[in-house]
Amino acid sequence: MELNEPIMTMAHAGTGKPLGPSALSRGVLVGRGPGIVHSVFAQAVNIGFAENRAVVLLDGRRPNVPHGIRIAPHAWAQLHDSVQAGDECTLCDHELCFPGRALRVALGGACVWRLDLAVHSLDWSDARVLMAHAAAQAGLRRYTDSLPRHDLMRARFSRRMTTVLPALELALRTLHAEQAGMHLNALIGLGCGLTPSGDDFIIGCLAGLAVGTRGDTVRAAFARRLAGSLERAGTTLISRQHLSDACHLQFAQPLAELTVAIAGGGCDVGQRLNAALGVGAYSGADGVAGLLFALQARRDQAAPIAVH
Amino acid sequence: MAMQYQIIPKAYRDSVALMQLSSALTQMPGIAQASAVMATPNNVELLREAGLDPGTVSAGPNDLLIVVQGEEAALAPALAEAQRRLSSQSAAPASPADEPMIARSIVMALEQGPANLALISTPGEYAAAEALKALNVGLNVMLFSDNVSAADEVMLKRHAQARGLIVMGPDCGTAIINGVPLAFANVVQRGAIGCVAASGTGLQEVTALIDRLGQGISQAIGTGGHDLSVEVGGISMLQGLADLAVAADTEVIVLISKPPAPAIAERILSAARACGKPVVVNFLGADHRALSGGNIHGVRTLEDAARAAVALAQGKAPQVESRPAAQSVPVTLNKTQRYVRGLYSGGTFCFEATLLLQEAFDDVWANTPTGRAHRLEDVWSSRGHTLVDLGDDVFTRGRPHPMIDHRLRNERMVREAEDPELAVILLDVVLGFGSHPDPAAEIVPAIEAARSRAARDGREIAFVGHICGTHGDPQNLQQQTARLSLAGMLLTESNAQAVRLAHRIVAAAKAHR
Repeated sequence: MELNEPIMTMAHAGTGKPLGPSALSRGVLVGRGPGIVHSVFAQAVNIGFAENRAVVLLDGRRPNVPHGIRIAPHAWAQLHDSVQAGDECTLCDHELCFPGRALRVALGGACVWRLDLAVHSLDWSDARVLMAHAAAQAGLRRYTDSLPRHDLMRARFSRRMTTVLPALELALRTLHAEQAGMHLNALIGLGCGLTPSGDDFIIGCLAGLAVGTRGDTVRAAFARRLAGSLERAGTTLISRQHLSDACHLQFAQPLAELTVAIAGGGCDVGQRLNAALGVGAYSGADGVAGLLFALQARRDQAAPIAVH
Repeated sequence: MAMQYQIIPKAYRDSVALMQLSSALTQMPGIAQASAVMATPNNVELLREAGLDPGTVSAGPNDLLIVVQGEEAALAPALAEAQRRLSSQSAAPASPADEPMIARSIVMALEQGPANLALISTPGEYAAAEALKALNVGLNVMLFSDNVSAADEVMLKRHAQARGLIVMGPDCGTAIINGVPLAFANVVQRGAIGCVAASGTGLQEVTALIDRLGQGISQAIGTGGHDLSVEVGGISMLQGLADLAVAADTEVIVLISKPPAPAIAERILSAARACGKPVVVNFLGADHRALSGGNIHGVRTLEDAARAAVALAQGKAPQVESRPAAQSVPVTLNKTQRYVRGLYSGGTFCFEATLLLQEAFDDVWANTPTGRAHRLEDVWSSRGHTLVDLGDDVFTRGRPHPMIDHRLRNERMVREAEDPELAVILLDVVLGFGSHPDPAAEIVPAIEAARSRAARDGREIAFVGHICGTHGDPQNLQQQTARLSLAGMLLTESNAQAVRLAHRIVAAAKAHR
């Protein structure tokens, strides 16, 4: 999962004069054609496109997401200060234009960031993998213990999880895609924020199910079937795109790198865990919880398994 | 109670902002409950479950829904307050602005800040190359990886030596450097005692006991288990010893290993004699009295090593024999019960137990025998007094290490309980970083299952063990001790004391027959 960062330029459309060199990368451009700036945050600008697609422009200090375009910090400041929610833009393979702001972002030189968790093998007979998984579980527990729990919705979400998780675990262990999909659908859009906790948990789950499935046709087919059964319409536009990425087995860099670190039994799990937990306020922890939950189910998976 | 809601189309706030808003509204006079969420179908359903049923709302997942419940007169002001707060809130998400880029190479990591050590854990075939890269940029190396050839180990250690650096490992699982626990290590206070060890759990036991005895650790340097072989020649132990000899914060040095080859032992001891500081030497299984002389204090057990080092650090003469564990044993054994079965997660604990138990019994069997102990041909079933290192390759193939995953040991415990000759089950419980986050949660049900299995035949079993850990460890030593004791496990201060207690229980039962 190399992250090469070629030079890219951002330029004003009017003059064509580059604003300065920008180290950039981008994921798969899921949106095309005319779009509208959906929301502007300090380090992210979300743009909505037709068919509920979204692309996010990111401050280059943020890690990659599959539908993201990372822009170097000095150019980011200028972009961020220029655009506003509701601005119109157009996106094609080569550039992103904001006609109303006389601004264009050239994409031709950007490295395409993409990953394939399936090729990273997951061998539970390797003690280091188990150690890494246990270390991540312990780290997550310490982190979640430190989070405030007084919120009504958070408490309700936790309660919902306690009823869903045992049945979901059984469905994951027995590779029952229909059942697993039903339980995961009960979590879609559930919880606070732009990316509700339930969605983050599902995304983490899918990462845990996707890793190491190359050559394992049964588990690969299960992950695909499960992803295909998710009803993504029941959540926010932004979260829907993250879910859509996950259903194509593409995940944000911190979660993906934690997954790879656990599967590789690497000693960098602590660092990767902290990076993954640091995403948003609760999103990181919810995603990691889903990942570790799915990995635990795979670890405990009984063989032979009937495929439904 | 009345309820009112408000939909704010296409309004986005992060979860912290929404939770803060919910909390602020709930605290307003006359408001019993309030919640601000994105109006996804599942969230609306969850609100209903919480008693905040907004009825049929014409809002979608991209709209913000605020529901307040309470006294009629309080609802409108609460929703107005919500509007005011949302208008004044910045849309910035709560995330750090300058999160550093994740390093993907040793060089990238160095660009992010100074470092003097690289911890390398890659598959064995890549480990030497990575270690070499680290050494070449001036980093000491802790090599957690195993399956590194002896030739590579010697090459790396000489390469490091030539640059004034040290390679800890390969297969080095424990170290505490400048107060930072690395890999499997306990949280200990800093102090004047420096350790160099070719044994992971041996180093954990000594450093943890030193901490519990009130002293601290300056450095705990692991060398890897092959360092004192003839091929490697103790390069890392000699380097570690030399470093501690000149370290101003180290007053006492402890060396821990299985007995090295005589030529290597002499080389180590010569360096120790010349280091100018008191040195406690625990070469497990060696004649500790023959090692002693001058500044060298030979000791027999890991516990003795810790006690001797603490005494020396306090300016006292070391007591070289452990205090016997004085403990009543609330277990009645019948006349058939006469054997000890040790189920260990720590290899050095098993090794030490094998040495100590054979002082009392002849028929001691082990999968990793030493001294007069016999090799267990079938490691899956016990005979006589059996001590099993469950961290040995044969048990960890296809399974996690028993310090992390207790299942194999738990299953074995219950199986041992079926044996009418079983008297004592001997265990180690290792806390600290890397180990299972809650060992008691795993062990207690197994003890109960084993006990009830024996009870079916009208027998009792003594469960004896020790916890290798400190009060600073994340697992909470006090809680672990309480829960294991409550489950009837007889806990001692050290592995050596646990073995001696197991012996006493069997000897006492024999005397009553």
